[in-house]
This record gives sequence, structure tokens and C-alpha cells, in this order.
Amino acid sequence: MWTYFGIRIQKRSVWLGLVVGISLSVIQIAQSLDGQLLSRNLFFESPYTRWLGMDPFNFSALLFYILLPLIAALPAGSVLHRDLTSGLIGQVKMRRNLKSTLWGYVWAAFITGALVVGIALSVNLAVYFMVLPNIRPDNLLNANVAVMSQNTLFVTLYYQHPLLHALLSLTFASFWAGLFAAFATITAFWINNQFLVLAMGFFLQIVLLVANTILRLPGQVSYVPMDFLKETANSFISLPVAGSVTLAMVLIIVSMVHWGGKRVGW
Amino acid sequence: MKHQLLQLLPFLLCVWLVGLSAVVMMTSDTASLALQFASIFNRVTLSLAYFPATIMAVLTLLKFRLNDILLLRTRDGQAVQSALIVLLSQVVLFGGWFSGIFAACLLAGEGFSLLWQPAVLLGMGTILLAGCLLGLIAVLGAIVFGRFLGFWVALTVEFFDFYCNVSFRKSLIFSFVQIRTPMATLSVWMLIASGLVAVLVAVIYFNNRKEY
Repeated sequence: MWTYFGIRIQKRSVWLGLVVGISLSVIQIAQSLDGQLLSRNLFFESPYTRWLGMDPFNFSALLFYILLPLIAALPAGSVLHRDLTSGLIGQVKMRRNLKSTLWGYVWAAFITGALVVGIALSVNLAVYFMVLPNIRPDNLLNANVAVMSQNTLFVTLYYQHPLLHALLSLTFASFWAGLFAAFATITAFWINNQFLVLAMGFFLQIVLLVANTILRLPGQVSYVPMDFLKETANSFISLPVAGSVTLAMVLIIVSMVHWGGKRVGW
Repeated sequence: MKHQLLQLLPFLLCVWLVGLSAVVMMTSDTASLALQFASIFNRVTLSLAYFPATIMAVLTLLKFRLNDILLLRTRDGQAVQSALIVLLSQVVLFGGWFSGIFAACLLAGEGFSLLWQPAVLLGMGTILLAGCLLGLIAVLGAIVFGRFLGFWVALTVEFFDFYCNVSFRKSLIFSFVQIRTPMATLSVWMLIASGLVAVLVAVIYFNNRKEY
């Protein structure tokens, strides 16, 4: 089964996703690291205060999380659409269990999307570890970063075990990248336009972004993924809201696979 | 045509919500033109939602058909078709955004007077022209690199201009953010129009060389 997906996924798309993700990551590094920081670290900066997930100042960091659904969908987001359009699914139906194959498409998109974004974020974090000292962040010395319970999940973990906190944030962002890629993949059951299929995750994010400015939750808590996927957000976030949105996304994907599968006759 | 308008529906809803989001700032206590202007022309929502939605709409509607070339015996028809698709989608989506702004003004109790201010009308004209320019850049990118990369090209141009604007540098597309004199706005329009002409020429050039 995985050999089949290894053949179906175009290597060029995977490389393109990696190049775009790592490029944004490198641009953020270039914007963030300046001569003064490298020569005299006056404000006790460390990878935990400067990496992409923590950067509240540079536009490239915001851009990465906005474009995360597009980057994740690049490798395998359109494979199912191509196979539905070309009729290959009909051939697969005769030889294999269609249900497991359709789930395979979703899992392939999920894994490749998560890997691409995970690698881009890991490269960013690793480069900062090569350049900046490994200093545990302090809530007074690093007050400029404004990490507090209102905009950071598990904030005590950030100050006690910052590397673990960064890795959890990276994993959560990669997980959501996989969800976006899976969501883009399964819209192929209803949408006949390949470009729109790839861009559906991004479209969902911008709709949520706009909805969040109009329909606000109590306490101005944000339910936009680009806010709670960062290690520290530019707006208020909370664990119940982030968890609920994640669970809702998973349920939507499972439901859509079920309904979409019925359309192709599983 | 009906099918194309149906395809625009989700984007229409998105831009309508972008327009409606202006009500959040409009309902604040301070009633100055500058604040109302900033609430209508919120560069963050326009950059992150409105322009990407319009670019996506153009690329969704765009279709290059070999049969059209064979029937017309020229490729110029495709360039005209692309330009018309950009114009149609931008006008429809601009109308959706405007209706959202209108609804926001009604909800905020501002009425019609705000929308008829010359500065607001000029800013809206800039947005329409900028949307057309970005749409045409996306078409050019689609012809040269493919639809998805064309989207990235247009998005890169748009985000770069947004970055210039937030960094207090000169920006063309986001020049509507500040209240300008009519002459300054007209000069921006002329610059955007010349950009439109240049991109259209490039579209015709690359379309004639594309292998279908």
C-alpha cells in the first residue's frame, strides 16, 4: 500500500513544499539575527526567545503560519483529485479495498504535510541553537517577548523546560499541518478544480481569521489555527478552545472521508 | 456564466465577511474620519483575507482551452478571456466586499454619509484596481509556471507590498491605507494602470509561446 503512495506522490511536489517552508524559515532567521545580537547578546536572547514559533515581531513568522496549510498541502494534497479525475480510483476499486485505499490517501497527505512543516520548523530551531546560547528564558530578563498564560499554552513548562515546550509546539504545528493537508485532500470528492483543492486548507484558515474578528469568544480568545499553533500567540488563546478546534477538525475530516467515500461507492 | 458565478460564491462570502468585520472598529466611541477610514481599510484583513480570496477566485475561474485557440485561430482570444475573467471576478468580489462594508455601516449607525466621502471612494477605487493587478499577475504566473505557482507569485507580490507598507516604506497596492489627496490617489491609479498594461502585454507574450 505504501509503495503505491510512494509512486503516486510526486517527488517534485515534496521538494517544492520543503523549499518553500525552509525558505520562509531562513528568511525569518535572516530578519531576526542582526549584528548586534550576534556580537553582544545584551538581552539574554536564546533559541527559545527567537525561533520562528516565538517571534512576534517579524512578518515572516506570521507569514509561515498563515501559509502553513498551503505548504502542507503541496506534497500530496492533489493526489486523490488526480486519481479521481483520471479514473484510476475505478481501477483501484477492482483490485483493493477502496475504503482502506481512500484512508491511505488521507494518511499519506497527513504524514507528508506534517513532515514538510516539521522539517521546516526543526531547521529553524536547529539553526538558532547553532548561533545563540542555550539560556533558559527568564520572565523578567526576557519580558520583551511577553510570554504569559493568556497567549501561551503551558507557560510554566516554557520557563522550566523550554526545549520540551518548543518541541511540543513544533509537534502540534506539524499535526495541524497534517490535518490541513488531509482536509485539502478529501475536498477532492466534491471539488473538481485541482487548484482549489490544494488551496482549501488556506481558504479555511482565512475564513476563520475573518470570522474571528466578527464572532468573538468570551475573553477575546482566538480560535484561528495560526494563532494557537505558534508557541506564543499574538492574541489570547486557551487550551479548551485550541483543543476543541483540533477535535472539530479531526471529526470534520473523518466525516468527510466517510461521506466522500460513499460518493465513489465504497 | 452561471456556473462561474456559482464558483465565486464561497469567495463572495469570504470578502463579504471581510467587509462586515469593519463593524468591530466602527462601533468604538471615537467618531473621527481617520478611525472610520482605518476600520474600512484594515490592511491586515485586506492583506490576509481579501486579496488572497480574490486571487484564488481568478485562478479558480481561469481555464485555458485548446479548442478556443483552434476555433478562433488565434491565441489573443485567450488573453482577452483572461482579462475578462479578472475583471468579472474582481468587480463581483469588490461588490461583495462593498456590501459587507455597507452592512457594517448600517450596523454601526454610520449610514450612507461615510461611504460617500471622497477619500473613501478613492480608496475603494484603489482596492479594485489593485485587485485587478494582482489577479492579472496571478494569470501571468499561471501561464508561465502553472496555476498553483502563479498563486504563490501573486501572493508573494501582495505580501511583499504589505511588508513595505507596515515597514513605513513606499507601497503601491496598500497605498489606500492612508487618506490621500485626489491628485495623489490618481497618480497611484495611473501607476497601477500602467502596471496592468505591462502585465497584460506579458500575458499576451507568454501565452503566444505556451505549449498547450
